[in-house]
Amino acid sequence: MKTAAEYEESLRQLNLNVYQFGKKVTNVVDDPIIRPSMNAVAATYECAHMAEYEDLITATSHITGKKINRFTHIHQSTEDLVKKTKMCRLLGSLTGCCFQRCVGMDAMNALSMTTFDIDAKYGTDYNKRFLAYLEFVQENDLVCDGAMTDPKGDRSLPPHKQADPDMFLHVVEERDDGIVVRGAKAHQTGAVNSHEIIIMPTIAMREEDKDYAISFALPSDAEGITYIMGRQSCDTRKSEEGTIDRGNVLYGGHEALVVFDDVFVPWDRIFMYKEWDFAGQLVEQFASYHRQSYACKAGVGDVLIGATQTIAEFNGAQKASHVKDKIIEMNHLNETLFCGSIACATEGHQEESGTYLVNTLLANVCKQNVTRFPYEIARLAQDIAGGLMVTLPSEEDLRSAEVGKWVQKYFKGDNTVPTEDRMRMLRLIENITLGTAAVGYLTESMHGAGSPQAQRIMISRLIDLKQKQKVAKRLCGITKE
Amino acid sequence: MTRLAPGRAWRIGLKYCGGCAPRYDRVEQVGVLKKMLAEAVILLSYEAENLDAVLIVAGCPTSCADTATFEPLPILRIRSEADARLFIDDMRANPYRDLTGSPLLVAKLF
Repeated sequence: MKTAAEYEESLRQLNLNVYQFGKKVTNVVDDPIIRPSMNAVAATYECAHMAEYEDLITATSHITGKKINRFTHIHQSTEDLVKKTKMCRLLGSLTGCCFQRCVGMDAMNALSMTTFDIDAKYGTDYNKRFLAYLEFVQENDLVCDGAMTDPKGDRSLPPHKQADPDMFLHVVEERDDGIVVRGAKAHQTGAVNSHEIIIMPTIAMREEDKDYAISFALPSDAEGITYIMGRQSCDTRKSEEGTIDRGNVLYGGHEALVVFDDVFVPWDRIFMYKEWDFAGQLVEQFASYHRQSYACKAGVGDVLIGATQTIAEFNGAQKASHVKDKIIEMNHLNETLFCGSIACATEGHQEESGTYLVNTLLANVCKQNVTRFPYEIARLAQDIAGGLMVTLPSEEDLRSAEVGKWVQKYFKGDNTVPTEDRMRMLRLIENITLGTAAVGYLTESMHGAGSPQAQRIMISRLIDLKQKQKVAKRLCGITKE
Repeated sequence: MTRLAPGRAWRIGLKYCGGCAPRYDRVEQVGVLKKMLAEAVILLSYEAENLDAVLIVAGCPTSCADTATFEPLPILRIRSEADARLFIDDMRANPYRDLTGSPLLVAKLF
């Protein structure tokens, strides 16, 4: 397994084509706005070598028998699924942000099953290709960006009817040695911290859309790929000299639009090619795993609850009964998020391929909670923190020779707590609820792994209402069907 | 070996759970154990050779750390600060005890 330093060095060897604020980024690893996100991914490497975390962060490869990073592991038991949930919570609490590596893991697990099933129906050899690729990823301990979401254009139209055919990524040319693809993938978490990019279709498809039913993997710096970094709230604070106003001084996340401008993909990297009837299965299986992965928000919630309790103490308000009750409510909601992820893991099952899949219904229930509870947890954090969180002067004012003394004086809370500490804690709460980390904690909680309505549709499909009606009728004595 | 020869310290492999939501500081407790049992116990990596037992340091009662590969060694388990104190007190009172009789032994159900 790589160390964090080896991971960082491996990123420096990539030749990524990245744009931010209209300019090409010449040094992605050290860019001050991107660097915190690299640190977060690096934590997944660092923790694998720490005795107090390795039981969650590492696993035994079912291919080689070697110890590997769990982010490159294919789940072989419900214990594996539970450990994945716990790993996501752990890393959320250690980084306080989106640590980006889960999407690739979820993509590989979904592909391990879908490739197997395509082969069973069509006699193809996708699974063999996929397992060779997986072994490569495991042996080299790589970060993979799992890229599903197309820009989609007019949501009322299927891919082949879009005015611009590139609104969904598709094949434009077929050659003896591979294919050429064109399109883009939006909202790609951690894209420029990744060694590989794994493409999947974003929706179930019909035969008319078969040119869009493709899945493949490429090196992230393959020719023709361009990354356009997404802006985040308060992002430029990371390029300021001071650190207080960043809130989270160590870690962050990022997302990017990834453009494929006639990119060549060799056949041995293709895991689905026009088997349109399996696009929906790949999407659903990936989505189930990825909805489970939002246990990470319980970890970020741990940070926010800790910050909120601390600011209550710094403010001198921790004994107020309503403050105590709000902290209880935050914990209740946070642990409920964890409950959902643990439940879908514990209730997982083995698929034909041998891979263990989470319980899809419970995974969707888990994610539906995630679309709501962080917002309430954040609201309670802001309630307890107070309005100062959004009116606080800058670190420069704190350090100012002219006005620093007033910032120090008037923003002191508990007299034993340095004003700077109070400011730091307020900025952390701001970061998670309004700033760069709010991208991950709130809006990504809403839309990541599918928007709320997507889960409601799945819940509706998977619930057996007839059975529920049957038990109700029996208990009230209705005997006619 | 589950009984200690005089003049020798127990060689115990240390395995943490993954620490997703620990209820106490596991690393700090291990530090306390090392200090309080310095003469009776040598805590090593669970991958070390010639271990007498394995000590699981779990952050909560669930204790989900993998232990299957450690058999047939005695597996001792700490799940709280109270367990840690019990381990220290027991080893100090009975340094030559049979480890399979330790109050922290993980009992197997057959």
